[in-house]
Amino acid sequence: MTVNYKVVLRIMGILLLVLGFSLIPSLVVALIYKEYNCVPAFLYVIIPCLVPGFIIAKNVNRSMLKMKIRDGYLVVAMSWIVASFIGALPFYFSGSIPSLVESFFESASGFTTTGSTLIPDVEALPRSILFWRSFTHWLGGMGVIVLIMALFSSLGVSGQLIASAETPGPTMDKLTPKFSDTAYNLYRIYIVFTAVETILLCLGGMSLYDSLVHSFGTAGTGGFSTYNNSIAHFSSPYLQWVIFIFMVLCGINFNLFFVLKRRGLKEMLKDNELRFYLTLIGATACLIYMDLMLTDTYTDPSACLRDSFFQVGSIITTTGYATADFDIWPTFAKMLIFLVMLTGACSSSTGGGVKIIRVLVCLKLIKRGISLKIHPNRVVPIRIGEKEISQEVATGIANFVFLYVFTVFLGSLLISFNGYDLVTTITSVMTCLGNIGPGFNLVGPTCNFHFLSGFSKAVLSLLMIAGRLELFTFLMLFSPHYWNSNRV
Amino acid sequence: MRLNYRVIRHTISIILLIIGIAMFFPIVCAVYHDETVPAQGFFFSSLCCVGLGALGIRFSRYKTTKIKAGESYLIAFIGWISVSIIGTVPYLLSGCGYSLSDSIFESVSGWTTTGAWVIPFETLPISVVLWKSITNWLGGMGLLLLAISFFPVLGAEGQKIATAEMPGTAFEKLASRTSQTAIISYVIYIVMTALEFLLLLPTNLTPLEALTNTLSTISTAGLLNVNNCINLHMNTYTKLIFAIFSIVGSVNFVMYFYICTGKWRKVFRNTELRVFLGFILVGSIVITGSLYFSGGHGSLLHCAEDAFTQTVAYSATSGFEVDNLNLWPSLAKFILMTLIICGGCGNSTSGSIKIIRVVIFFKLIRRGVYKRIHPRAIKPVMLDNHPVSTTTASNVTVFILLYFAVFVFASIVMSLENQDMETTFFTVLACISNNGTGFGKIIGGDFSMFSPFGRFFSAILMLGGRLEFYSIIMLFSPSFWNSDRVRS
Repeated sequence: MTVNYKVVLRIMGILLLVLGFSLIPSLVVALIYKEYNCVPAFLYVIIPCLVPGFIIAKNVNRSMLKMKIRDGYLVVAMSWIVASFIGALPFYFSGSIPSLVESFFESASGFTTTGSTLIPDVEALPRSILFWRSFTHWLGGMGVIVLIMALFSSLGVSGQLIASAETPGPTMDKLTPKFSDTAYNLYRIYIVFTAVETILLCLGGMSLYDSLVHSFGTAGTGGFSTYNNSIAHFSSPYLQWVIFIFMVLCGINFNLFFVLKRRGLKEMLKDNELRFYLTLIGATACLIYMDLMLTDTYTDPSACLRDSFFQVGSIITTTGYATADFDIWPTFAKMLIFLVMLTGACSSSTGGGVKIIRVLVCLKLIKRGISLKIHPNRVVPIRIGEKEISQEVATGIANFVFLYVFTVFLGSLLISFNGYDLVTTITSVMTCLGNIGPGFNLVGPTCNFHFLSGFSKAVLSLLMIAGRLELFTFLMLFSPHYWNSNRV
Repeated sequence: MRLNYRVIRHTISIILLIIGIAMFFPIVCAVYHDETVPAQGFFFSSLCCVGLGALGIRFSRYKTTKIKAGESYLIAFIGWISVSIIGTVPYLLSGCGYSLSDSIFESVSGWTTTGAWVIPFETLPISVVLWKSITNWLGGMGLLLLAISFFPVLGAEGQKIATAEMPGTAFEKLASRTSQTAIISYVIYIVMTALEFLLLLPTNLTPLEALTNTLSTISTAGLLNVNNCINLHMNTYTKLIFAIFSIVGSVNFVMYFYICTGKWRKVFRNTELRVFLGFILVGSIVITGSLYFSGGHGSLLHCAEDAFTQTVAYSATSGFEVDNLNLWPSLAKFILMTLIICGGCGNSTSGSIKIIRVVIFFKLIRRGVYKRIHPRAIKPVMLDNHPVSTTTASNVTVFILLYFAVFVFASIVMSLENQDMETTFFTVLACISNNGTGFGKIIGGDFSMFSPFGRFFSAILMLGGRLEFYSIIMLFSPSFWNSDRVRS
């Protein structure tokens, strides 16, 4: 049994169609702002996408094809790589980003909702290009939802396995009978969030263009901004708090919003992962606040509070917006930021990273390990809330964490060829793998990735995609067992 | 929980006796070098230790009692705490006015074979330096192991204590009686030490320097008298001897037993040994290349020599430097960092995660990938043609997770010292791996920049690293103190 290439082809065709159509809003923006030199750049991409897309979709008949798990892995990986490549073309053709490798990096950063940029001066780029850049975030977030709902559940990837098996109560097991309904519902939440945030930001005094762009970045937990100093450009506290709230919301398990609708807030707050997530945000932000005030880094308490919460919320949800340069903060505050970089957002959200639920399970595994040393004959199950996690799932989660750590090491090894200091090297890898955006030192919130070599940029782009796809999906393709199932 | 006072009293008495006898050598040294105050200090402490120890042994009843699994960790912990406290006394009585926190730091650093310092060597009386190296030597193999070997009255229970103290996945028995195993291990240890001392005599080190450095390198503590990367006494021959005997100290001692009994094949086939030597070889080659191609480091031979020595130093968690490592290329530094984390072999004097766990770690990842493709496959993890039991795999998993959790938590606490991020990370790593040095400001093992709190916390981390954390964490677990309490 090998990969069913027709299925893959058909889905690629559909993907091309989707990409082609999604470039049209950016084309409209170009026309609105009279950026006529960008129009051909978009057209050169739209037409070669739509035409083959139509042809493939028409000719490859759906009824003959059944997709299997094996195909799923290839489809998922290819979609993200193809999307990143095609998304890079407008940057390249319009001349905004001169090199193809850099365009690919920026586009991958967009679709994987990382938010790492290598553009030295963002404000000099045409608006339509910046619009496309942020729109890739929004598309990427939608793509994640498709991943979560469609493929992860059948592939048994930990993210969805956790959400379906571990979330509280019987309400979570099957939200609605048909898959398409569930996906439709999740899209609805996603679109509603984007729309509401845009409106709220407009009311706060942001232009419609800026509101849209930043809402795209928040909903997808991406982090691209149209300004060089990110959200620090907007000094209004209202705007910063609005963005903070929506970042945190988009880092929550989207399935929980249905629990909220059907069963109310109390039921939703019973979720262990959500509790840990909110507690972690609160605790770290407060500790950072105290540290910053005690070391006199800030003199204004309200600005300090706002910045502490914003930075923590931004990094833990892996968005990557910045209102302050945390690289100049005292080391204690920086360490806490480092901590939330490691944990990531909740599972089944648009955020990235290791995911809170996995961190929770690992902590419980450690606790159980200690308990077993004292009483070796004990039988201690791992519980999240009331649901018990099977040994298989727990092992899978530990495996994932190990693979994550190993990938960070491998990636850092490759990037260290560049010769920059260790903190830069390692945090650049961590931030790309976790789809966060900024790191520390030379890749801090006020810097960009421009100085790295082409090789490093390529490696980091692949790491972004691997991280988005939760590692296994991507690394599977490198295993000979995948391509030839008869091989033992 | 009722503490097993009898065993604890017995163990501590033995320890006191041994330390008292060990203090004899510094007395001789102090008298020889006309250091009257330290001589008096040593004499006084030696007398007390021997006296109390002998009394304790005389009055304890020769009856073996059963030790529960958890208790062995407590005994190990108490043993090491008492040893650290007693080791502080010579520093306090040396008449140089060392503060309590400094003395505690130096004592713990000695016993845990870390090799970090806060008091510069030039200012230490020579007898105290000798004492430091003796503590290194005894701590390397484990004082409890020595205790067990002399007093077989502990019987089978001795194995539990040994397992609690000895780093690695399991304490392998070389002979049917644990006490014999301990004696054999120590005999091998003494032979190796003597060999290294003899080989160092022809160099331009004074006999005393040769002795102190022998004691500290075979126990993979570090180097004494040659700090701050001064190449004063170091020619190629000396470097090689240090390197080779660091490897000797960090190889699983069971291997030596096999060599002595003629089971060569077992040694050659041992996965852990091969991986360990393989890491050193590959690490040396890559670092040589990195140093050579980055220029400024001299001839290829010189690069190779430094690369090899440095790789061994960090891999065995000895922690000495042959050059100013902060100036080395990033790739070299990254590889060295990885080697510290991997550590040496189990059942040896080195620290950190241990190669055998790293091997299992990789095998678990590989199996995880395989199981994604074939979810129903039954694929055990094999090591040296034996399957690794679930318990062992589970223990290894928990330990690695615990190691990283401790690393993150300790980094956050350590960051209160407000050093830069690189220094903070490497300080923590140096302590929990018992390496003693790293990059950033602590290069050369210099911990003098930390406040008393920082020094004390580092000392705790060193102990934790030596005892592989469980002993210390268990004290915080309520189910340890009250085993009747049912907690989930």
